[in-house]
Amino acid sequence: MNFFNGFSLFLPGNSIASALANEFAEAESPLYTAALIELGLILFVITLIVLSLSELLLMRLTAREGNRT
Amino acid sequence: MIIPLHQFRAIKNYLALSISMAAMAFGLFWVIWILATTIDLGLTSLSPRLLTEMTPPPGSSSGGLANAIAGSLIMVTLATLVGTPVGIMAGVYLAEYGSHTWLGRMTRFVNDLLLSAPSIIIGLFIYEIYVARVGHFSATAGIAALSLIVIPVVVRTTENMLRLVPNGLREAAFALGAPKWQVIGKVTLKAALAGVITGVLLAVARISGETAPLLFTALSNQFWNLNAPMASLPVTIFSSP
Repeated sequence: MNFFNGFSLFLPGNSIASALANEFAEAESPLYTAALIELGLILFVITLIVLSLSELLLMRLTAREGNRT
Repeated sequence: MIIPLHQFRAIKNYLALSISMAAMAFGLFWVIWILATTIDLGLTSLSPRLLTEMTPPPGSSSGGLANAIAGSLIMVTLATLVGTPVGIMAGVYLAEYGSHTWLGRMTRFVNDLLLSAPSIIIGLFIYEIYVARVGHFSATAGIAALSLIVIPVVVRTTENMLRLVPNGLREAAFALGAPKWQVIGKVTLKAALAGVITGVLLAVARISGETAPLLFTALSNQFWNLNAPMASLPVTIFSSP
């Protein structure tokens, strides 16, 4: 685990998912749990944004297909 | 020097072929390495004890994985049983009834979202709405989390497989006077059966390897009771390095 002491690819790192998996069982205070759930929300919002973008791209592609024929 | 056209094309063909062969070899290399390492490290521990004994406490050298294997089997089976009917029915709705309606498009988008949601989020969700309320981890919660992963996979494949059924088949059935529910149940679903079963198997393959949603819901233990924490293979692997 790395609490951002430095920025390097060779230092230990953490992804949102791995932070959740490793720390959720040890979170004692409600604030800690809430912060981890917030991390989960951020991850979910990232998924939502990426998926919406791909949907938008698909919609534009199908709209253009209608014009071509 | 001018290369004749047929020779130029032969060279191009040869180049493309060797590049794709190299790509295939690159992929195979890692798969074989992973398999070889797993077999090399795991073969020495392969014994009948693996199937008959419980997970040992950390540090001891005896014991097996009997409870983890049984837990995985129970949870995967029950989650598939819960998720498959819901998934197939939703897929039928999307392909046969709501393909161009607002509700159908919305459902498809939400389903895609659920399909690509990180599985750890699903585990957190079940933890908050079930485990935290009840106050203890249980296999039921694990089954709930796993069936939430099964549903979108089955919805997606069922819908796509039903779309592949030619419309002529539906029209022929309607022309014979069959009502819509009979057309769906006896013609289109039957024609797409192999694909739908493939979807269910894909879902089983996906959930049997999931660690994250089980970590907060079923946890790991040595009991067999559904209402208690239950061990599973991925979580046992994760928690005992």
